[in-house]
Amino acid sequence: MILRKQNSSASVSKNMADKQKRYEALVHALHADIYRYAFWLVKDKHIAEDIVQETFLRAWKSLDSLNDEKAAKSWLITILRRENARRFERKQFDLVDMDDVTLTDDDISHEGKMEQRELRRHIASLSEEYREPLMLQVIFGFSGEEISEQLGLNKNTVMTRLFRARNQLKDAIEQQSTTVEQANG
Amino acid sequence: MDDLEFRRKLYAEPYTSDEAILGAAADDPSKQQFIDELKQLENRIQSTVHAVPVPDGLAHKLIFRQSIESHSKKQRRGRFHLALAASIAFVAGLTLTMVNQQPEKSDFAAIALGHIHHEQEYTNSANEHVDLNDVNAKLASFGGEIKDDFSHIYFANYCLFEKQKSLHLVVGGEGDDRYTVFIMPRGENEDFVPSFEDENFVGKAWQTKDANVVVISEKTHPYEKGMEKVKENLVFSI
Repeated sequence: MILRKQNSSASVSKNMADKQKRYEALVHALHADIYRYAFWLVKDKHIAEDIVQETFLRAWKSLDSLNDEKAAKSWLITILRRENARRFERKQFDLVDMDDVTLTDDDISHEGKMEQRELRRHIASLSEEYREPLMLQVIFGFSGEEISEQLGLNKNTVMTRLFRARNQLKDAIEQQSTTVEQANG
Repeated sequence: MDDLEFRRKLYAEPYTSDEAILGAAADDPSKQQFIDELKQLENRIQSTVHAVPVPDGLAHKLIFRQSIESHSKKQRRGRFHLALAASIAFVAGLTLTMVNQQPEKSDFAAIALGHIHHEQEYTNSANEHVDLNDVNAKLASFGGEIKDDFSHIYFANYCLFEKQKSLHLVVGGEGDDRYTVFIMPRGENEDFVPSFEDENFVGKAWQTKDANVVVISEKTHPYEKGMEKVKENLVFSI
């Protein structure tokens, strides 16, 4: 009895060690992409970090339910999106207007070329329904099908949104350079 | 593939591997230029999106926070176990107390035997020549009466059984035989035992509406008949 107990507790701690290893691998492999995705979703580095922390904490708690490491990405994204939706439910009354955030916040870093800063602003200004599929494609390299699965949307809808997202960005950039040229002229 | 569809597909997927698109671009330099421009835009988008700085030490924070969470969970589990142990100790203590109290509270046989052991020396030697009327006056409060006089009534006094006023009689039987009678109010939740004994004594009990009546005899002499006679001699109206 005592022996069996020792064995089972040894295997429990081995399971814990395995779980810990899996978790750490997951963190190292995906935390940057997940953080960036969160950031582009909420456009605030503090909130993004909070959401990412919650996401990984939940991931740890239900890590046993993740059987396929290849599915880890979309699994984490699902958790993160749920966390974000929860945040919305909690704080729907004291959310700052998105445009204020994108224009004034230092989260959209001032480093880098002006060109890049402008593009940041444009991406942040995209409506969420366009921004989110675009980020899944750009950050995680998801195909149209994978995005449609992740967001629970029809693939044609996803392709249309991707098209509109880039189209709007291109328009915004062209409009801006026209404005700059006019100002220069 | 018309131009609109070509553009839509490329906007949705600038780095497409769609053969139809790539084939169409190969035949048309303006289409190829469009692809190149879109790829440029895409590269800018890519670098802009990925230029968002990840907070310093985020990976460590995530791992650290998880380990704290697991640790505090373990601690909570520890506290839970402590609480469980405390509860078990409490219940065990309570049970022991109840078990210990039970004989005193509800096992009147044990009380009676304890009492008789305690007072044996005194009651065996006591001889108060109690008057029958006095005894009946005392018995009346229990609704009882002695029908035929005993050969002798050595002792008739109230005593306390578990804080309950009870009547303690010592009556005579054949020869020098003495029988002890306890009449005590019925308690709640008591286990009625019609007969009991220990090394030295044997007891028989019966119940009236409000009282337990116990007759106890020493085992040193034949007691069956004598005890039966005591029972017959004690009449309870209720």
